[in-house]
Amino acid sequence: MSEEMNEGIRLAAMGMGLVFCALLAFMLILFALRQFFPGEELPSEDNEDNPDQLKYRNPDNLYMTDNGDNQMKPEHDRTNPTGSNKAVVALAISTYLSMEELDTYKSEDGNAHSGWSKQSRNNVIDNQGARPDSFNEKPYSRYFPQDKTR
Amino acid sequence: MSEVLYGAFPDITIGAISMIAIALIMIYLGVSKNYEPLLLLPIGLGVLLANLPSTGIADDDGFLGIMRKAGLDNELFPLLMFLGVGALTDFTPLIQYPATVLLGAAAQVGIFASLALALFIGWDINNASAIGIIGSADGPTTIYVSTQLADPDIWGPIAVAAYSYMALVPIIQPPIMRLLTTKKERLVKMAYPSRVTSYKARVSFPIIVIILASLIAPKSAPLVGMLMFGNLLREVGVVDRLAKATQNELINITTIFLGLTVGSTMTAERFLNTSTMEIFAIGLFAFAIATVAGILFGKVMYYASKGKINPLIGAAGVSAVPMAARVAHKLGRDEDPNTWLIMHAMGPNIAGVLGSAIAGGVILGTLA
Repeated sequence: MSEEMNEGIRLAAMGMGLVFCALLAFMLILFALRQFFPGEELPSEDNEDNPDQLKYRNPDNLYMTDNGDNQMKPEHDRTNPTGSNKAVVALAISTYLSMEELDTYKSEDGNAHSGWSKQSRNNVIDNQGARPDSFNEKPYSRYFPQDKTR
Repeated sequence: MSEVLYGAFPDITIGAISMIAIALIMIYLGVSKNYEPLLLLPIGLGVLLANLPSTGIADDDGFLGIMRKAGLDNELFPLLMFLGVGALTDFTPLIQYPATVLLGAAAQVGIFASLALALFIGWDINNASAIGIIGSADGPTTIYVSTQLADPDIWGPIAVAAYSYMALVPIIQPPIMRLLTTKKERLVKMAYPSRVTSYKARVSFPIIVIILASLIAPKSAPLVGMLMFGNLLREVGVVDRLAKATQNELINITTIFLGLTVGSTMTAERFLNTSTMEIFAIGLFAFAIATVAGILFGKVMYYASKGKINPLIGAAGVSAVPMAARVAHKLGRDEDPNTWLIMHAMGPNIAGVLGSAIAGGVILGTLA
């Protein structure tokens, strides 16, 4: 075996050893950091003694119904499932409430209208009666192509 | 006179035409196939510009030559890239699952196995080490080490091999992962943490790593230092402007410069030879061995933890952030759509970045 080959094998053995030692040291430091600076408990409806808590934290069980069946499985990644789940619910509720907020004025029929009807009315006015754009398709021009203006 | 009449057409060679074709393939793969477009597009354009005859763009006094001397010959660009990578990296999964750090170490076997293979084939030890570092699956580390150890003729092929195989991780890894794991192992669902990661832990970690890594492998200090400095900017929360600058402007500008300059080293006389083929073959071997080592160590942890750790996440130890972690996650989901491994796989994935920087530092400390 040549001198260079020997040197290479020595380098490989030493290199792997040092990489393992370094990452082992990092691992111990990480355990120590977790010990010294423990983070807050993840928010959960369940209390600490409840054995179902682990189930709740596991993203597979986030959408469990009362009888334990998985009914709905979202397709997106959920790296922080508990937080994102609540955020989505909060967003949905906030949107719903803002749309349900009644107008301060009353229409001719004397009834108050919610944001939904106001938005529908605005959409009709904005579209000028044109057909709405299809989802994921190129919009149809509302303008005549002759004048080439948009 | 002929230059005025015929332009550069008389100077064009078969080699230059071949390199222009390779440049166009790189641009095509980046743009149409989405294979690492951020790197393959600038590298491809660098190759194209450097091989257009009679332009002098890639000569020492050409603009690509000036950029190469300013940032590649002195290893500045890879370090700036690492600063941006650090600012983009979230070490939380590593702090949440400390044991997965060891998977990042196991995957570095690819570096040293391919180093031995390159030596066996007949490369000298400096070039063999630079070729072996392709197994780190980490672009900046590969370029940083190769520019210090290897002949300038092989800088380009090494960088292109590293980035090409990183883009091909979803093709290279899955067959190996399926071959080495059983269905039962792939179906393991790992528990999620019960606590969030504390601010103090996230801020302390980069500082401790800089000190410790510099003491263990002093030559890794520039790489680890920049990586962790970038991460510190992200985590401290009081220098958002700097964190955003490193995550966006700095890394984007450096990517353009690094890609163009690496591409400019790939001229026909340097690239079109059997050495390039050997480098690509050894690079593929390095990726495969790194995956095998990661998976096998994952299996060890699976048995040691009595079936609580899914061995698929071991393959994520090869770096290639975040592609390798996504591959592990996808393979788990292929077996059972209810399996979610992405968070767990990010731990070894990030540990792989740290491990490869330390491996590079050890090699440089021994040979440079």
